[in-house]
Amino acid sequence: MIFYPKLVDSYFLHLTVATFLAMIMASSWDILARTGQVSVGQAGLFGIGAYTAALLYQKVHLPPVLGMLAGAILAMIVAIFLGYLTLRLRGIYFAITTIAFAEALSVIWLMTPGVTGGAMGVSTPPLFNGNREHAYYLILIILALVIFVVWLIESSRLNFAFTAIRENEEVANVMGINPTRYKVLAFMISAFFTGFAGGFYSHYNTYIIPYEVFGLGISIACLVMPIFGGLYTIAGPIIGTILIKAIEEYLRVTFSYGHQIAYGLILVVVVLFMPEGLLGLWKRRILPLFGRVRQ
Amino acid sequence: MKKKGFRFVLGLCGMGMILAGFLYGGSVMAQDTIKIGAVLPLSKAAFAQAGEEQRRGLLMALEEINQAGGVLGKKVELIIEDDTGEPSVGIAAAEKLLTRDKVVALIGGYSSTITFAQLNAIQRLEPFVAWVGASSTKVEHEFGPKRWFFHYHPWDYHRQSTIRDFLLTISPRPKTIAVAYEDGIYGTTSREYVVKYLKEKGFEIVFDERFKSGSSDFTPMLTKIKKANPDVFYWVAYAGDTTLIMKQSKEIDFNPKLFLSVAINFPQYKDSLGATGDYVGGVDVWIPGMKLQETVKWMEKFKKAYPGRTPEYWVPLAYTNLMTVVDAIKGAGSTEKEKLIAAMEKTDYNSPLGKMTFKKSEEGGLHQAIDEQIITQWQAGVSHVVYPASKATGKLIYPTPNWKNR
Amino acid sequence: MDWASFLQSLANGILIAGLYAAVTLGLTLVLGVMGIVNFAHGELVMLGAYSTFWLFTLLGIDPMLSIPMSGLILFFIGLPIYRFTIRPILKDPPLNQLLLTLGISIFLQNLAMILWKADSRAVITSYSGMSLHLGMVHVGLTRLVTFLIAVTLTIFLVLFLYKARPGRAMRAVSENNTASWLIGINVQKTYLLAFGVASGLAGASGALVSTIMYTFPMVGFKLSLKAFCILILGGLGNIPGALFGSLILGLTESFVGTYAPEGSGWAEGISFMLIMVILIIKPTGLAGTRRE
Repeated sequence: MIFYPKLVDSYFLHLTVATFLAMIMASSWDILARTGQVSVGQAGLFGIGAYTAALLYQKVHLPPVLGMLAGAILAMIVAIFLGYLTLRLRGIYFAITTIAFAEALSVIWLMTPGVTGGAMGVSTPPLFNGNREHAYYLILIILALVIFVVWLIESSRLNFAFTAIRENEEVANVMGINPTRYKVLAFMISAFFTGFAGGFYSHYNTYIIPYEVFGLGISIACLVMPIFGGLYTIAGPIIGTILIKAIEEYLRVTFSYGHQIAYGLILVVVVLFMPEGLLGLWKRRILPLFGRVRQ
Repeated sequence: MKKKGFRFVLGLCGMGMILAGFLYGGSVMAQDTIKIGAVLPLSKAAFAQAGEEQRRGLLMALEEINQAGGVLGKKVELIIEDDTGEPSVGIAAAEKLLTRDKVVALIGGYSSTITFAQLNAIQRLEPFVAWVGASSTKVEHEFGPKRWFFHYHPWDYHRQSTIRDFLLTISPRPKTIAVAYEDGIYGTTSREYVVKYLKEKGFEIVFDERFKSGSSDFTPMLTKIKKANPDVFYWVAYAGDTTLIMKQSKEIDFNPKLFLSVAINFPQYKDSLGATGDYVGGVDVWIPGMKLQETVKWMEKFKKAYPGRTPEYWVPLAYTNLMTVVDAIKGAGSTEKEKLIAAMEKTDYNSPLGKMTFKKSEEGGLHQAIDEQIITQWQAGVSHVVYPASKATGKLIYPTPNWKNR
Repeated sequence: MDWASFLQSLANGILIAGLYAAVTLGLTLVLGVMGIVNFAHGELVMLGAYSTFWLFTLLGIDPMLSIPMSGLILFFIGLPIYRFTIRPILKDPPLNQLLLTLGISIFLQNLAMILWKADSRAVITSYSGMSLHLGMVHVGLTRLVTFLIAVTLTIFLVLFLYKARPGRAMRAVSENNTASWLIGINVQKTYLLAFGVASGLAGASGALVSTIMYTFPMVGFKLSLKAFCILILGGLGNIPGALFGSLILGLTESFVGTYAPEGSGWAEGISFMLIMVILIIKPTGLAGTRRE
């Protein structure tokens, strides 16, 4: 992976960076999902991260990487507040609230151009002066970090807590696990990385507007990838992202519009036929054909 | 376990990359053609119509060019990429065309945001760009001064200066204006300039508010505007909003002396509004009804190629885009960039929109094609050019008759 | 006190509330009977709007007449959707139900884009834009008729649920489906019928949408969000609550639009902010719920 940039041209490198960014967001979403909470509003946190980085650069010339970090931290703080207020809600209502959250932010952003640049958006100079290799390394590091964090969660007591809350919140409570506290923790971690991704996005693409970074498309993408690949696993979001990005690019080149239809189809097919995603399919159907079952 | 899991996942990434590489790596065959690349919005709902229209214009020009033998003895190959309305895809598309397909010119374009991101990403390559889209002066400030950047679409202020000049020709001169604008870049920049220009000339702005594009109900806003009793009601919105605004203005019996907007010549205007759409004025780049010789000739070609359709200005603009680029290649006698730039600067082409040459523009642009716009007014279901006098096909009807008297 | 503005705002608010109520009825029915929040409900409305548009454009059928027709068309579209996608997941965790209906929603939005492109379509009739002048207030004719039809639909639905046998079966099932099954009600068939009726209601309200607003693939999504807001405002799964919620939303949007500075911009965001505020204060919605 280290020598990868030397092997491919800049177009491909750009695709790779975009894919890694998507993986980070997919994995972050999955972290929160492990507690049974489905967010359809990751765009809200993404946008906060994006704008923090961009605005801080614009006003005080904060170096990009620090800006991304600031974006991540601010997203995390927002998540703490939002989390404590809304994570008491069960599944559906939480989901609806997250959608409302992202849309509300979009409206607020548009109506306060003095502070946020409004519809005009905010621009920043190209990241690392356009040196894509450096961008690649940065995103690779963050991706590795996310994977590491997920692995840490999986091999610690947190895994037990998250799963217990997800399966049956009341029972978890009785067992002494405070559901809200753990849910907020998951939300915080998820928000941190999503916010960082937003900050990276704003510097990498040099120009952001509210419609885009708070858009529902981002929130949906965040959830389709892990669901496709396999929820509550490390490799699931990764595989899901790669495949979806590949399918997307292929469809984009072949058909003019509506290629997002694939997202809808994937969601329906996965829920109906392979609720554990591709990874689950692999484990349960394909691996046993080889005579062994991985536990 | 940690190391193993790690390597497993990263290995997966690697495999995935290789897989993906095969997907797009192999398709480009070496052909003896002149390759030109266009990036258009073809799948995002709000932009798709303009993208489609551009595509039609490009294909019309392409056929004509290749039927006449192409250029420099070779056929022209047009590679169209969809930016899906997202900057990062726009960047990928532009990069692919330049670095993989090795196109000699990058054309097309629409959204100012995506343009900005794309140009930022590819400027290190100093490519030859003949760009149709983008009207935001942000793009002009940043890339206008680059010698490899040629731009066709009027900048935002061109629209508003035309409006100002037009209003000054009306007699008796209107005194009060109400301004409403959609909350995106389109509306916000337009409003900025119009307020600036109109205040400079002594007009009084009695209402100045933005609205959310895609709202279903404009009656609260229109009621407020009606109360302010302006001579002119000027709004900036996309097609869908404009339709509702006119319908709802009629509902609440709002009668300014002039309804003025920006895009009122889109193909569904007549069907959507019928008689309700009459008397509305708008600033535009071009309408099919213009009486220039080139326009008439070109409209014949268009009707043959796409019978039953009414073109918006994107079609002849894109047509002109490709034609002028190929002309420059012909004039340069080569596809070498420096020669292309020199030849392009000498462009003097009789397009369906009028004479096309590249000149400097007000806020830093070096190569700007269009800087003059027209004002049209719908009269009895036909869109007439009413300003400037030199291009007029009809006379402005002012003041607008009340709804009850129509 | 500017009475003209105030009364006009009031009128606007009430009229648009009628449309919102019509849209929310179907969603409420499905939620009440089956306990599922159908994220794709907005898209069913969108399909209803398109069907009205095409009936009008291709066959010249007046939108007012095509309300029942669009309703029927969507009824028959809703049945297979229920049978093949909803029924299998009735017992699944809410997460799956959410994802499934979300998937259907995305699928339908994009299908509409592919089939009919993204341009907005409007249905114009000879009476579009006519309005009545009641004193200081102007009432658009189409809006008024829409409001009256929405009221009619609600009355029909209530009558159906209280007087008609299948309707009463639905109410029974929504209270306790085991007991209903025990006394011989075919629960599966009731669910199927309920979903069909809800889709039909969506189709009919879609017809109304096409006359008041305009038709484009994303029109469903926007309305969905407002419908969710109404559900949360008015209580989930009960009809009076839905009406109450629609009124609140409609009036708030209208008054904010008229009186708040830059109001028209903020008005569209009202629904989202209301959702968040209410759920944060009272996690089960304002008027309480039937389920949960």
